[in-house]
Amino acid sequence: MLSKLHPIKLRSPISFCFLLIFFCNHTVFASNAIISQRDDAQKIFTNYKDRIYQIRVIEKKSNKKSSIGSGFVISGTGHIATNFHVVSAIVHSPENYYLEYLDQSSNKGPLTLLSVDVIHDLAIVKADLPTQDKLNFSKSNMDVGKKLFSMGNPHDLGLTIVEATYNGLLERSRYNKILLSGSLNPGMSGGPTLDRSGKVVGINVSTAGNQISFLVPVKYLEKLYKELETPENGNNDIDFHQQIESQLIIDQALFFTHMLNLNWEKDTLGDYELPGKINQQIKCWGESATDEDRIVDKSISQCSTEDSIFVSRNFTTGGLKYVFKQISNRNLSKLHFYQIYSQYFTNQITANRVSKRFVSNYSCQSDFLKIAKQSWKTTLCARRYKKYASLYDISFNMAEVSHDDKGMVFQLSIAGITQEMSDKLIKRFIEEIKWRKS
Amino acid sequence: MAKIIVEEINRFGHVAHFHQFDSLPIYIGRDYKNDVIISDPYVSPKHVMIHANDQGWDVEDLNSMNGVIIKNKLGRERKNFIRPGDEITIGRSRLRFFSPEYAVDKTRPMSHSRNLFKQLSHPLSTILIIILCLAFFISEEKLETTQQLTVLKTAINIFPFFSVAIIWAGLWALVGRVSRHQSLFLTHLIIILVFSVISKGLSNLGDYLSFNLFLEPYFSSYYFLTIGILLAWMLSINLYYGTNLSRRARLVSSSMAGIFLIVLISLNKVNYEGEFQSYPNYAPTLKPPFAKFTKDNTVDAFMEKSKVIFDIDIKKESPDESGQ
Repeated sequence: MLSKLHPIKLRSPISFCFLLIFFCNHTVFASNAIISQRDDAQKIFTNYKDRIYQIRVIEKKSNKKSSIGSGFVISGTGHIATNFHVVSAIVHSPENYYLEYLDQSSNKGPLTLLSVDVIHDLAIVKADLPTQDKLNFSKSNMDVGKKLFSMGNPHDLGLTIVEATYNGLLERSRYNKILLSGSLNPGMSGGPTLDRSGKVVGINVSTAGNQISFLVPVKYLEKLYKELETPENGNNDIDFHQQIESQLIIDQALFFTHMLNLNWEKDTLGDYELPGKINQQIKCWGESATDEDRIVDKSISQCSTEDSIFVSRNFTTGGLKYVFKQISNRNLSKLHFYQIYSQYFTNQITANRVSKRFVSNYSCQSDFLKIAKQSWKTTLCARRYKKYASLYDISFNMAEVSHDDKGMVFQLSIAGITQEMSDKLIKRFIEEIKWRKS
Repeated sequence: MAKIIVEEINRFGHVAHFHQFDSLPIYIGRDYKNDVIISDPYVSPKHVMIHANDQGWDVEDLNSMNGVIIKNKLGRERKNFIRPGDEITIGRSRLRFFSPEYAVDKTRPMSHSRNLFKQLSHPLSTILIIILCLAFFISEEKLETTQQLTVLKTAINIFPFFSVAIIWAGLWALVGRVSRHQSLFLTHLIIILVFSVISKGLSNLGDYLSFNLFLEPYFSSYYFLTIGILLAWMLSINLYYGTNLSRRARLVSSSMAGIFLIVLISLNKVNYEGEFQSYPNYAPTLKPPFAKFTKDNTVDAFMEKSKVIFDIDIKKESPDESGQ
């Protein structure tokens, strides 16, 4: 779905060409109407280009850059803001990588990571820079349609400026983001998006292609910077894993507590009343197939959150997904029907993507449970995060086994939740499943 | 002992020639002056001489190049001494010695009443069994499928199994023809068919048991163990009909094959043991209500019981990759 912007591992000649073509067309077909806006962009570029840096992650052995992103100065003393995903390699493998900045005059210098906000994908690094001008944060609310200017280093091509349009705050996203109509490209991650007066409104973070891009609202950066300035956080030896773990724990507690306090929207499927779209951040899709050549009828309802937290290139978390599958027999024998029904009980849904470096294997417990007056075969599986030991990925699966000719499968997948919260959430889901017939 | 009978034994364990002598000693070797002439390049021209003795014979090595190996049936009494029924090997040739008084084995009946498989191999019953097996496998096939099955599709699905069964029976028939002068193709065919049905049946039984008792983690071990035992059992029956091996040799070789299979599979399993799996690994098997005999638990009790799965030792699995 969404792709993070930063990691450029190889620069393909093809993408190079595409960009060139784009710029050519733009020049040829430019009309007078947009010249004044072009002037804005020109002004902003000239005024602020010195406050924007390229952030490079350098691999120690080869001394070559492993990935690049952008960053911008937020203090007079060398604090630079960027995305967490730009610098995450430093957190996970400090022994293999170091950070470096590159300014507009090609000066290089070392960077130190000071603080991260894994939830909103932000990081603050510090460079040993002479006192200089910073970019200020915008405090005002914006109207949809406002012109904005995104800056950064797309594909390591040098600093560029992109005109874009503000399209409001994404309310249906679990992690507040600004929807931007404009092309953000890999390498622009961590760069600022400015309004006409040169104030930062957001930090470039990701794109879904076709001019759909996302920004982190600047208020989260402001908060992270303020925390950094309070004396107890001023020391340099923060354990970033500890910081990330506590941020993840607080975030899941907030999200799921809020969810548990809501009245859940109901859905009906077959003989059941089931949880539907629980809150604003969850999207649901339906699918049913009753065509002639099938041997069973099925209708499936699937709901999930749409965005996730980036922890590493091989580790995302913070997702929730649940599926209800109602399967009914057409004219098979009951043995045959159950054979087919079993296939719908296999688990292929997952709320996140993660490599074995970060999680244990799943460990499972099974039983038959009486839920909504029916018998269900139930399996609860959990895997633990290796670096954040109070957090788990949960896979809860149950299939009704009370009828010869129909069945219902419920599968719930949660990424990054504590044991206590998962217990409450699963119980709540079970309570919300009700048999409609008396 | 005065009279002696010398048996030359071929490499299938069959008697190739008999020689009978009324007086001793006798000479055995490759040249034409011997009493028993053996055309084996590893036998010396004058290899051994057999003397008479009280209860048997003495074997005297006549300075042969490759020596004599003596196999005493009832254990060695003293050096170079043999009794009726004992065997010597000179070069690559086996010779067995008997006296006329030696008692021979009982006569075998043309058909054993105890021979279940041989009795079943009557063409009519064979056809019946093949039809039953077909019916069994077709119904199994039908249970697995997600589409409407056509006759052709079923035939295509079942064909590989039946060809393997026929090849298996054919191989054993060949072995039987060579070593026992009896091929018994139908018997071997029935053996493999019956054992396939038994193994499939046991695996179905395992399905029902693991559905009820949550034995999923052990299911594959159960399955491979049954496969190993069934294979050993089937092989011992194949060996019985196909070879002249003694009961002990049959048991040893067939159980070795079974154990080998089990070890091979378990090694493979151990290999995959610590592997990372991105999805939870639970068996999705569901069975209709009639097959369920386990009582329902309450949600609270289940959640309480599930606490153990959160207790995962993450120290044990240390990160082994570096870099992102």
